[in-house]
This record gives sequence, structure tokens and C-alpha cells, in this order.
Amino acid sequence: MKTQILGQILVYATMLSLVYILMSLGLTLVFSIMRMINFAHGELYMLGGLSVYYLYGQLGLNYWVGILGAIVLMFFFGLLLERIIFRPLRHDMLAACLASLGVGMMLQTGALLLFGEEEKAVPSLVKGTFQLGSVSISNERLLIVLVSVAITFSLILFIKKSKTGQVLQAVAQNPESASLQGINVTRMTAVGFGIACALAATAGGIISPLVYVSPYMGVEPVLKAFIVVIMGGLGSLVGAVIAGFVLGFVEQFSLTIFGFVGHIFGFIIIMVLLLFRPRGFMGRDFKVH
Amino acid sequence: MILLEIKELSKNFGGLEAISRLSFEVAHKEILGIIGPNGAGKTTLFNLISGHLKPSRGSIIFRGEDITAEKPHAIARRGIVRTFQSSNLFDSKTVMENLLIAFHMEARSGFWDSLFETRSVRTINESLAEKAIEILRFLGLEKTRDETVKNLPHGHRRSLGIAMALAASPGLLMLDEPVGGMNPREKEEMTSLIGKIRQQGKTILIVEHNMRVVMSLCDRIIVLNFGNKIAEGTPAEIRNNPEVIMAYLGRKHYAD
Amino acid sequence: MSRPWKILTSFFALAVLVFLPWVITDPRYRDLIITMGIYFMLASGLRLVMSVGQVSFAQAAFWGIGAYSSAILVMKAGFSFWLSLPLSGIISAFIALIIGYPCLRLKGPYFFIITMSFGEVARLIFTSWIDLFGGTNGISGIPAPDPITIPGLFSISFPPRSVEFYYLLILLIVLSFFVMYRIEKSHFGKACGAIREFDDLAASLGINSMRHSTILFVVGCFFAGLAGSFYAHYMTYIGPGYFSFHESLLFLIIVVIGGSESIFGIIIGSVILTILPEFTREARQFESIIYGAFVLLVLLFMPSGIWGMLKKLSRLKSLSRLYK
Repeated sequence: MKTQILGQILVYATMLSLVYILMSLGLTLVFSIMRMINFAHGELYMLGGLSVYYLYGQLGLNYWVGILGAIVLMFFFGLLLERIIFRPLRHDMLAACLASLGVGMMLQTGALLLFGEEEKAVPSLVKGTFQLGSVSISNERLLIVLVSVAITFSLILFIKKSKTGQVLQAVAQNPESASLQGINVTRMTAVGFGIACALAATAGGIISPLVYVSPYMGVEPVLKAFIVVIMGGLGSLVGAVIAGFVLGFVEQFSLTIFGFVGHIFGFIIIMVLLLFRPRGFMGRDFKVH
Repeated sequence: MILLEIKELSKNFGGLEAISRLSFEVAHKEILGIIGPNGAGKTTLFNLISGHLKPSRGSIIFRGEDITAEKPHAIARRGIVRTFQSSNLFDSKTVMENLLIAFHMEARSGFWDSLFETRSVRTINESLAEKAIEILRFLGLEKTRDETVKNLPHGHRRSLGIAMALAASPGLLMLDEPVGGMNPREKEEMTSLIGKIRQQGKTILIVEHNMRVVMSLCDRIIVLNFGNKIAEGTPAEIRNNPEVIMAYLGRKHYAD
Repeated sequence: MSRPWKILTSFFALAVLVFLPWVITDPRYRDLIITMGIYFMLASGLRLVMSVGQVSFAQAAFWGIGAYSSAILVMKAGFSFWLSLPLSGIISAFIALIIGYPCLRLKGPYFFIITMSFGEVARLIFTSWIDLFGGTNGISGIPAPDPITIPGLFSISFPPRSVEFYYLLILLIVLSFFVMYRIEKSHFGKACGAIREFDDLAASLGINSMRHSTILFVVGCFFAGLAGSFYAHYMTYIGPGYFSFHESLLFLIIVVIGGSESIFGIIIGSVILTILPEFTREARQFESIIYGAFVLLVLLFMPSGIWGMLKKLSRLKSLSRLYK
């Protein structure tokens, strides 16, 4: 009985960690390229969930096609947002952050106007459960865990190994020297933002069968994703993965033990960490100006 | 009389030694130049003295007191005032406003003073405005007093930067590449300006790429290379020092 | 403006505020004006720390700390409101000092996150410590301030939602306006602007940025605490939902829309964000699309807020008059 509960907690903690990690990958990418905290990220995640709900749940398309649709949609939506809102504000970090707040508010209310307030369930993907000793995991959960892990790995590989990824890294490290090397920094920034939006949508889409989809679904996870991003070290993908697991496990355990108040631990950890090691687990020193 | 004493100063950046066991002294009322090729550690040294960086080892002694690793504003209050390489100042404010901020240490600027602006606070702050105009006149900038700083030409901004440092009434004035990025006419003006400041009996520490300016202004010169002091002496001695010539070999453009 | 002009206009403004209840007699509108005043106190407190370039997402938490302190001091410790009002401000300011001093070393996104986390921690404590803060139900039945009586002369009591509350708030607003205005105009305030623009240069001129930022943060939270105490006794009920992250966002939006450069911008912002929801009354949940659009328009087209734009326009006008 004891091991069963522990096993169940571990499974849920892993799930929670993966939600946080998937959300924070896009956030940290935007931060490293644009030096901006994107407050609209939760709403982009929500749009991913809603797209999958409509494409897969309502139109009856294949789930994976639905996710692909969400990715493509949000990539281009990201390019658009970057062009009309964030590019004019790129020299003012504070203004860009505030603008992302404005974007988030508009997206959330827009979704509310179009789709209504009630939570909607996305039909389940696969049936059945998987037995691991005394712990049973639904196949759906297992599939989503595997896909999330795959996405995380492929993103890290993409950034570290692919040509586009390396160009993005160069832009993130030093835009001036990148442009001296002939990189079109403006275009790459837009592409980076598009990819981050697509990542947010992927996260929302992947998770959607396990949670209810609603205009408010991004509000709480994004606060936690901010914490993960800072904890991991702003701009570090690997740091975000580690921090995602730390926060997911701490939270799941403390929620089980202490109930609702358990949410407090994540916030306390980040406050203490920021005071003593503001760079986070893996972050570089950087100057905000 | 020794004003500033640097003892065995070192600074590491993640294993890389930017300054290595450097020692030197600055005497009262002298102009000391620090030169060296790019990456020699000149700016790092400046940041260490002004408190913007913390040294890894060694000590900095000013007027006989150890000021190592004090905060930048505390070091400024002791009388070491620096300029910055970039020509940025408080760009959205006017020339006059910039100068008035530079009088911070003299102004009655406490929180309660601000809340209850008594007559004495007002007279003190008004007398600062007169002093500010005096400094502008000294630098030939009085016509620009109400211009926004970001609209000033590069040369004027650099002079204003020095004016602001002077307003902070420094015991030691540290100039970070005062003629960097200037055209020949601006360079000449800046050189004569530094000469004028020197006649007022200020002690000055200059970091500079430009050999000609350093040679013409300084009493003494220290040459840095890879964080080490490779030579020290009068301009004439430095000019003929074979090690210095080696370090600068193939770097002709520094002689402009 | 010259000194006599300033005194004249401030007297005029004060007279308008004092006589306003004779013109606006509908209690519903009086409620709106009171909301405006509370927003003004909170947003102008937030603007203080923004003048050194730091954005705090904990303003609502300090408002809540003031409100809960006052309610608890009066209801559980038996204090008079007139003592608990300043005490709530002081408690908020004290907590701000403890939190602010270590946290203000962090810049930009780090300060956002640490203040946001503090705000969430405060809200979770309000929600979970049921014995002291009443949990999700909050605290209700908070009594009105004790009547002020000078025997034989007069007695002022505070019936629910009365005009007396309005005058009390005006008093608090005048106090906060005075403090904020003086800070803005003084050498102290100018030094804060210098820190925001180029902190290394400011430090090399002897400006202690930690000291300045901490003072601003603490003063801003002091007024948030005062506003909280007033709010608790005016509403007679408080709950953790009132002091959430979203309220902090609202205050930030007020500052951005009005313009952070001047205290007058905060007045404009508070007025707009109090009146705006009145037009979207039927569809409360949709009002944030208008807020969002407002924020974007201001950021893209009036980078120094509505006040900044008005100022620029008036300057242009006087220039064009000059060249006519």
C-alpha cells in the first residue's frame, strides 16, 4: 500500500515536472534571445490546448495532426506578434515585458469571447493501463510522458547541434558580434520567438488530454514556469530541465503532505535561491540594462 | 606624498588571470598614464580601483586607508571619481541636470531633506547651480546647458562626463580612454582640457590607447600586457623600452 | 510654474476635492471616487520603486498586509482604528524593509520573480492560516473607525460608506501626494532617475543605489499599508482574493498607462482604470481585453504614458507659438 502511494506520487510528480519543463523551454528561449520575460507564454500554451481541442476533439482530425496544426499556427502567430509588438520595443526590456502582459490579457479574454468560459475535455488518446509492480499508470499518461521527454531532448539537440540552433545561440550570446558575422539578427530573433510560441503551443497541446482546456489553463502553470526558468538559470535549457524536476517533485510531495499550502514551498525555494545564487543552477552571469 | 597604493592586486575571471600581482603607486598631483594593447587588463584595473569589480587578491590603499572591495559609491565618497569609456551619461536629462546630479555628495539630498525643503536646503542647492555654471564655463559648454545630453555631439558628451567627475570634487580623477573614438580636432581639445585640469593641481590616472596623448600629458607611464606590468617610467624611458616596443609591435595604429 | 501659482493651483485642487461630495451626491459615484483614491495611493507607491527601474509585483501583498494588520489589531487586539491605521502602514513598511533590502540587489527579471513569489507566499499564508487570517473566508465584520469626539464641540462618526470616509481618504491622499511630489522634485528623486538610467555612473558619483531603492520601496509599501487599513475598515470585509497577483498587475497597468515619470500620470491612470470598468459592466470578464489593448497602445505609441504625451503636446504647442 505504502509503495503504491509513493509510486503514484512519483508518477504525478514526473508529470508535473514535465508540464513545467515543456512550458519553461519556450520561456527561456525567448529570454535568451530577446532578454525579455514573456508574460503571454501561459496564454500561448492555452491557445495550443484550445487548437488541439478544436482540431482533434471537434473536427475529428488525428491527434498528432492536431498538434502539428497547433505548432504551425502558433509559429506564424509568433512571427506576427514579434513583428508588430515586440520588435518596436526591443530596446526597452521593461516595456517589452509589460507589452507581453498586455498581449496575454488580450489573448485570454479573446479566447474567453470566442470559446466561452467552461472547461472542456479533450477526448482521451488511448485506453488501458500499464502495470509496474503495484503501481498502475494509464497508457495515455505514459505516452504523454514519453512524447514530452522526446520533445525536450529534440529541442536541446536542435539548439546545440543544428545550424539554425547554433545561429540562435550566437544571437543569444552577443547580437552585435552575430550581426558582424553576417547573421540577420532581426530575422533570427523573429524565428526564435516563433519557435518559442510553437513550443508553448506544443506543451499545451500535448498536455490537453490530461487536463481540462479553458481560457484560464495557462495562468497557474506559467507562474511556476517563471520560477523554473529562473531556478535553472535564465537562458539555460539544461538548467530548466533540472529545475523543472526539482520544482515538480518538491511541489507534488509537499502538496500530498501539506495540502494546498504546499504551493508555498516552490516560492520559498526560489526566493532563497535568488538571494544566495541569483544565477540559478546553470545560468551565466549577465547584466540587465 | 603617496595618494594611491596598489599592492599585489590580482583578478581572475574563471581561471583567466586578467590582472596578475600588480603593484604601483600614484603620487599626489601627478598624472599617471596606464597603457597597453587590447586585453591587457587596463579597464579591469580601473573597475577594481573604482569598486565596480572585486579583486581576487591584493589590496588598494587610498590616503593611507584600505579601500579594497568597498562599494563604488563609498569609494566615490572617499574621493576617487572615474569616467566611463562609453559616452553615455544620463542621456534623457539636460546638461545642467546631469551636472546637478554630479553634485550629489555636496547637495542636501537626504530623504527628510527632500520632504521638508527648508530654507537652508534650498540655499545650498541653489549655490550648486552657480557652481555648475562655473564648471560649464570652464569647459566651454555653457551654451549647451539646456540641451538634452543625447543630442550633444560625441566630443561634448565626453567633456561633460569629465565635468561631472570634476563636480564630484575628486581627490583622484580616473579617466577611462578620454580620447577614444574622437576625431583629431576633438582629441586636441580634450588634451588641452586635461592639461587645464592638471594646472588646477588635480591628481589624474589615465587609461588610454592613444600613445601620443599619453606621452604628451603624463608624468609617468605604466605599461601593462596580459595583466602584468612590463614597464614603468617617464615617457622618454617608455618610448625607448625594448619590451614595450615588442608588445606594441605590429600594433602601429595605437600610435595615431 | 512659479511658486505662487503652485500654491494657488493646489488650493484650488484641494477645494474641488473638499466640495466634491456636494456635487456628487450619489453614493455609487462616491464609491468610485474612493476606489480611485485607493488605486492612486497603491499605484503611486509602486511608481516610487519604478523610478529606480525596478518593478515590484508585490504591491497588492503589501496592501493586503496593511488590511489584515489593521483588521487584526482592531478586532483581536482591541486597538483603536486611529492607532492601527499608522501601525498598519508601519508594519507594511517594516516587512518591506526586511524583504526589500536583500531583494533589491537583484535587478530586472530577478526582482520581478522574487517579488511575485513574495506576493504568492503572502497570499498563500492569508489563505491557509485560518486562525489568524480567516482562510479563504477572510475576515468580515471589521468595525468602522471610532468616532472622533471633542466634548461639547463636535463628534464625527463613520457610518458605512459615508461621506466621512471620503474625507478621511482625502486626508491620506493629500499626505501621499505631498510625499511623492516632494520626492519627485527633490535632489533625492533626481538621483533615483540617475540610478535607473546608468547605475554605474550614478555610483561613481557617490550615489548609493541600494539605499535609495530601499527607501523608495519602503515608503511605497508604507502607503500601500495605509491604503490597506483604510480599505479594510471601509469595506468591513477582506479576503485573500483581493490581494492577488492580478491586483498587482492592475496597479502596474495604472502606472504604465498614466506614465511613470510624474505623479500626475498616476492620477490620470487611476481615473482611467476606475472609470473603464464602468463601461464594461455587463461583461466584467471581458474588461481585460480593453486593458490589454490600452497597455499595448500606450507602450507602442506613448512610451512615457498619457501624461508624458500631454506634456509633449503642450511643449510642442508653446514651441509653435514661439515660432509664429
